[in-house]
Amino acid sequence: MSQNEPVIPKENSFLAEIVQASGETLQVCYQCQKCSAGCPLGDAMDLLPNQVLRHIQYDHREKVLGSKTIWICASCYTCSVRCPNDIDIARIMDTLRHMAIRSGITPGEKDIPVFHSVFLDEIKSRGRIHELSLILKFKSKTRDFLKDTGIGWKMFRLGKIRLLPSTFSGGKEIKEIFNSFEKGKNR
Amino acid sequence: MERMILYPGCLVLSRFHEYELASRQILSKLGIEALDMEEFCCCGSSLVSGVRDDWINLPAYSLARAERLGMDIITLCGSCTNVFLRANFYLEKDPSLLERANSRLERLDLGYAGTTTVRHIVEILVDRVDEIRESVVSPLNFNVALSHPCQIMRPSEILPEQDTLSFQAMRGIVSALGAEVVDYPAETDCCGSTILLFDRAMALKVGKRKLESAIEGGAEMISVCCGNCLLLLDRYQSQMELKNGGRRMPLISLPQLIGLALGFPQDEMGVFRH
Repeated sequence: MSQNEPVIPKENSFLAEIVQASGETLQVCYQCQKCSAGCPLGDAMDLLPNQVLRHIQYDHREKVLGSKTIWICASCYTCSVRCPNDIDIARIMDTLRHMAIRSGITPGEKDIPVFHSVFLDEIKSRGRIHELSLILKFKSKTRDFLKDTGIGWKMFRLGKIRLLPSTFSGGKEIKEIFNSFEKGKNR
Repeated sequence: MERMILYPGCLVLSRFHEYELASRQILSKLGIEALDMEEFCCCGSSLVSGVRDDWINLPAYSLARAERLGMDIITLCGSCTNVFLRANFYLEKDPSLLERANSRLERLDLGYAGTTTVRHIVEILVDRVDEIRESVVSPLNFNVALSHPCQIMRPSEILPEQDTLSFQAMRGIVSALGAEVVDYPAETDCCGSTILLFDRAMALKVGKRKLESAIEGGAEMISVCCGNCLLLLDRYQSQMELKNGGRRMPLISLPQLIGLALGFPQDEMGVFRH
């Protein structure tokens, strides 16, 4: 075995699951913390990106999937670019979000997963995002209507808010792409 | 005239007409006809890839549509570019993934072979920087800070081999217009816009850090090249309470800035719509 070959994760471990699903060899992380030092959102996270990787290596499934961090990540890929071991950490965050949704573990952030699902529903209904209805749907789910009204009016006057959605003939096709997935066909 | 598809993306399409229109004019000036593609869908941003492992079918749909038209795509937004580049990268790397994506597209009488190239507008412009330099009629004599479309060059594994997408790309273009490019510590930071819609306070904090860093660096304006940066740093700036005596830091997209230096009238470049 060459010296540079990564450790093979234990079968059925959380680590093995993440390595398999993300395609990233995160067992080579040696905790240099460059990812966390460059993260623009690090101060809002409960686990820093390097800590997330460490907890995965230790198989702390609940701790990681229930963390705020995986939802706060803005996918700016700064961590992935900084990593000296070429681990695409932002991609691992995506994988963790998929797992968190499927696992039924209570998410560490309440509103962000709701936003993700509203965003997806919006694409499913028309194939494109219509921001006004996206925001209205999100606000009706989080019961917070008044926060953005001031700036909303300003943008409306500058012509930055479209009242009617932009649609296209393929809108229905997009629904088909998703529905077939949900019915479990051709996954 | 070279023909390419301009993919504005939902955000620019509905909020930043001035960016889109300026891009079209600059592209046509540089000999590229920017066509519309009627059937494009939302790229899914970095949000859908965060909740669905079949996110790749969304970009695959638009890529397949463009492939059928036989043209490459120009993007305006960092997120769209990133999603398309990642989709192309993963589809090429994993033939079984391409097969799965195609099995969905087949029901819509579509198919994707993986030949559509996606390039962000900065990349198109940097290739023609000499042409731009020669066409400048009114050199810009002020200090411009840059906010790079960070997602177009990340993660590093998806980068094409030619290094036109380094952080120097925008720098070269803006200095070709005669402006002084300002260095500031937060230059390569993410602006924080992707979290704006669900955690405004946090996004404003990140954006404020970036803007204040640019102000300290002596910037008179910031040039951006992404709909997300425009949304947070421009539209939400009034909520940030910047430490510069309440003055507004002007933001302008790169194509608009080029247009001004190339002598397009101000209202055609939409500078009053910011």
